[in-house]
Amino acid sequence: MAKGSTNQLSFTDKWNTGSQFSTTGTWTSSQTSVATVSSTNNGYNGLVTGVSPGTANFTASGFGNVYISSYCNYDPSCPYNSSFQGSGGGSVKPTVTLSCDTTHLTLGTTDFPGTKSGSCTTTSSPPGGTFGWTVNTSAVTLSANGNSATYSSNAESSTQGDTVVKVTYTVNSQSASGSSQGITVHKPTSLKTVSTVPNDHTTTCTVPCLLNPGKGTCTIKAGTSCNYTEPITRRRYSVVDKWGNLFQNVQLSGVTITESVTASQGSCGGNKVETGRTGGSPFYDDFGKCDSCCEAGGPGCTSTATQTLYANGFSVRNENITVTCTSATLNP
Amino acid sequence: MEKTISPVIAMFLLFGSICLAQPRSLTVSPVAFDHKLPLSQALALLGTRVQNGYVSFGIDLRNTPEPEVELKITEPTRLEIALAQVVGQVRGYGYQPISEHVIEVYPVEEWSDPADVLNLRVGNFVVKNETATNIFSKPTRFIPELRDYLLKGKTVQACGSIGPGLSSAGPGITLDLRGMTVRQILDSAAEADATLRAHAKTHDLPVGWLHRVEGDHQSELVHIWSFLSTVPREWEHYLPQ
Repeated sequence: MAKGSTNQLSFTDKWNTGSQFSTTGTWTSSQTSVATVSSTNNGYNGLVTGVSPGTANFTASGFGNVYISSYCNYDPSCPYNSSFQGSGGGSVKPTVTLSCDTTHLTLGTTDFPGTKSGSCTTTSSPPGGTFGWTVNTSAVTLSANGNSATYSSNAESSTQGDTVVKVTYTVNSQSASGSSQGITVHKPTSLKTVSTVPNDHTTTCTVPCLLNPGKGTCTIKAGTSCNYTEPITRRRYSVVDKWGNLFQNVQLSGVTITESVTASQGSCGGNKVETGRTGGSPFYDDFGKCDSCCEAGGPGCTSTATQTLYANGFSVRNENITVTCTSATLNP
Repeated sequence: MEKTISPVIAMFLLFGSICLAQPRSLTVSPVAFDHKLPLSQALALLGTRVQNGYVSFGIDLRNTPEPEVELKITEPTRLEIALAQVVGQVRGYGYQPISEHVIEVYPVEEWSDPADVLNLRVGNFVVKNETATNIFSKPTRFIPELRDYLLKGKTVQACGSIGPGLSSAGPGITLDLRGMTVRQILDSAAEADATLRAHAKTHDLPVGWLHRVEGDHQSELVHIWSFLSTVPREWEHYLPQ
């Protein structure tokens, strides 16, 4: 029984003939530091209340002989020959509850470290016990510090919710345990294409030659860098795990996206390759081209490259890119 | 649909952050490692253990490799004390609360050098519905003075580029700043991003800025601009209702 909880013990007294008689009595506890007992229902019952871990015995006694004589007159099988004592035993068990702050972790190298770990706290009684922590899979690594622990993603979960953190609290050789909800470690696996949108040029492009190939004034000159703010084509991606969960939907928007692009080839090969970095899902990937070839007369100038996208360091997409001064083709 | 902070709100946030607000007293829950960690990683872990609020960091690193520190917070500790323990291990580095949600960690010498890249004064900085991750990872795209400063003396190839890159799809911030330094712009963007979440309900996490310089003065210095989220998992609990 738990500390503070109660338990009803009962005592039945009978004549040696088997018939029950009414009487009054008192109950005592062998260890009041463990549990107390009080008489109820005229002593037929003892109400036990747990105090601290341990074992106690409870005795009912003191039933008055005044009743015996009266009942003897009633029952010819006197003398009275009944046991006047009853006893019961019980022990107080410790309690512990476990609370962990997340059931979803992301895997890999990220600029959002808060998405890679969670923490557990406990509520226990009585004080003075010890805590033992375990986890049932290698999907997370556990770092315990007394009554609390942190867990960090270590490997992709096999199934959703497959990982459970368990704490065992022990006092005076008595134990209680608590478990977390199932935890899932999500690995970025692929990208879902949400949309592909050609640039509608609704905002001012800083490279007019992209709007009017060969007729504009692309700002490419020594001492500055070629730059433009509007892409020719914009894709919107969402990062998903192997179960198809969108990382934003499982509240793991904090993924880091990076890219690597091969050196450009084609009639305008040799163009500088820009690589990017961003965070969160969904995200945009922009495609476009700004170079002296386009300025000189595009749009026939063509560059090709291969792009690999990474989420938290895991390769999630390969694209073949063909870009001209006015269009971008992506495969897939 | 993307959401923005209006210029009026942005300016309020700016002045509020720079002139009025001070970081609240925050507490860090225990976090301890038996080995040293890179400074930025230790700061991120501290941030994710903040209990009653959240902060973003502006981190300026000039040492290569990145300095490593011990992280041994064994009991609930005030954030400023934990920061002193961590940053104090790196000679020549300091930290300073900048606004309600932003704390800067920097090398003291460069921080006070008027000629330093982060102290470059910028005439106008205007962004509209732009994400902080984009600003922090490509500041030269938004700060022409910074781009010119970093290109000074370098040979620029007169050809263009392919693969303009990645960007966040999250809601963006809108800022119109005049006469501020690069450092102040980045701090203001971090504060605006932290506060944006109170207005635009989103799962995206606030980010701070990270600037590294690799190489030495004999070789070409490489400036690496990035971002880092340091908010605890339950940070949304501390948003104004």
